[in-house]
Amino acid sequence: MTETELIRTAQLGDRDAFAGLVSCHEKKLLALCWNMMGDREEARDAAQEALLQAFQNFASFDAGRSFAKWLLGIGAKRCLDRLRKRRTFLKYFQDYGRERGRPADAPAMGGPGDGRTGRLLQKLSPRERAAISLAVFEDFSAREIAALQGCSVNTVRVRLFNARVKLKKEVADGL
Amino acid sequence: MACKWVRFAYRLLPLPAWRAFLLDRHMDSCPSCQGAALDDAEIRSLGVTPSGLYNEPPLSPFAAGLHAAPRRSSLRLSYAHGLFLAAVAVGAVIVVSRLAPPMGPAQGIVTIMEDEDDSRVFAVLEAKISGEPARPVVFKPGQPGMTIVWFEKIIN
Repeated sequence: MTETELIRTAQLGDRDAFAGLVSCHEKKLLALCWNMMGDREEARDAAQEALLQAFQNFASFDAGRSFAKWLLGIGAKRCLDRLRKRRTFLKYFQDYGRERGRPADAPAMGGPGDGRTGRLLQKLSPRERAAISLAVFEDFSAREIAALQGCSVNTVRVRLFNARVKLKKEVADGL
Repeated sequence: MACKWVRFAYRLLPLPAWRAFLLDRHMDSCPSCQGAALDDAEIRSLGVTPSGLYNEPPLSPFAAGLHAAPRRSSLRLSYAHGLFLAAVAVGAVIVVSRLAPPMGPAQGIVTIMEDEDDSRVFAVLEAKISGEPARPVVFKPGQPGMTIVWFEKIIN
């Protein structure tokens, strides 16, 4: 069955067709979430949430669009939400640690973030990381990323450039 | 030096389209600016690629979906249910208010027989409010020459 047929069947409520559709793209989704979250478990949770959201909203999916990009877009948004919550969470514990006279440690990153290379991506801001993950790893255009992030194409270009410069600097510092 | 200015300008927001175009062209062709940024191949080596996840167990879209989807729909149902009940309640209030008799002073009939010799003596022979028998209540507040009589509707 082709992807178009799977989409049509899944939109009629066939769960097997949806599962088949997802199985073609779930590794991409997980990789994107992993690069954005820097942690295996959080990446799996975010990817799972993205799949659930895609499943719930699948009736509204425009079959003329790329399913992979639609799914990855949902994944990127889920990750940005989670990163925002994580920042609030960390800020709370850092403030708490400061009040108690000792700084709270940030939770350790797992997965590819265990290595130096994985940690480099985490040096970027969440939006820069989302932009670079989508552009470099998933071949999204600046226009597609702009639509996803709700900003102008110029903003995305600048984010991508800043991210590349920061990464270059980090790599050079690490050598 | 020119490249520094270009990079500085590139970071300025918002950029007019023509300026962005010129800066993009500069970035694409300038070895110095390209050298300041990491290229795609190097960035890919820093992250996780789908091919590197062959050992990962598959995600199960319905593990959460089967439980969470109905919860959402039941939430929608409860909203719809609540709205429906509120509409019914408002409708009922409107209908009842239109059907109910208008509130106002009750119309009643009182038949009193006074003693011819002593005006302080009287008897209530009949009291009706809206055609129904009413209960008379006599109250003497203690002031000479004053007796208050009122009637209450009998509610069974």
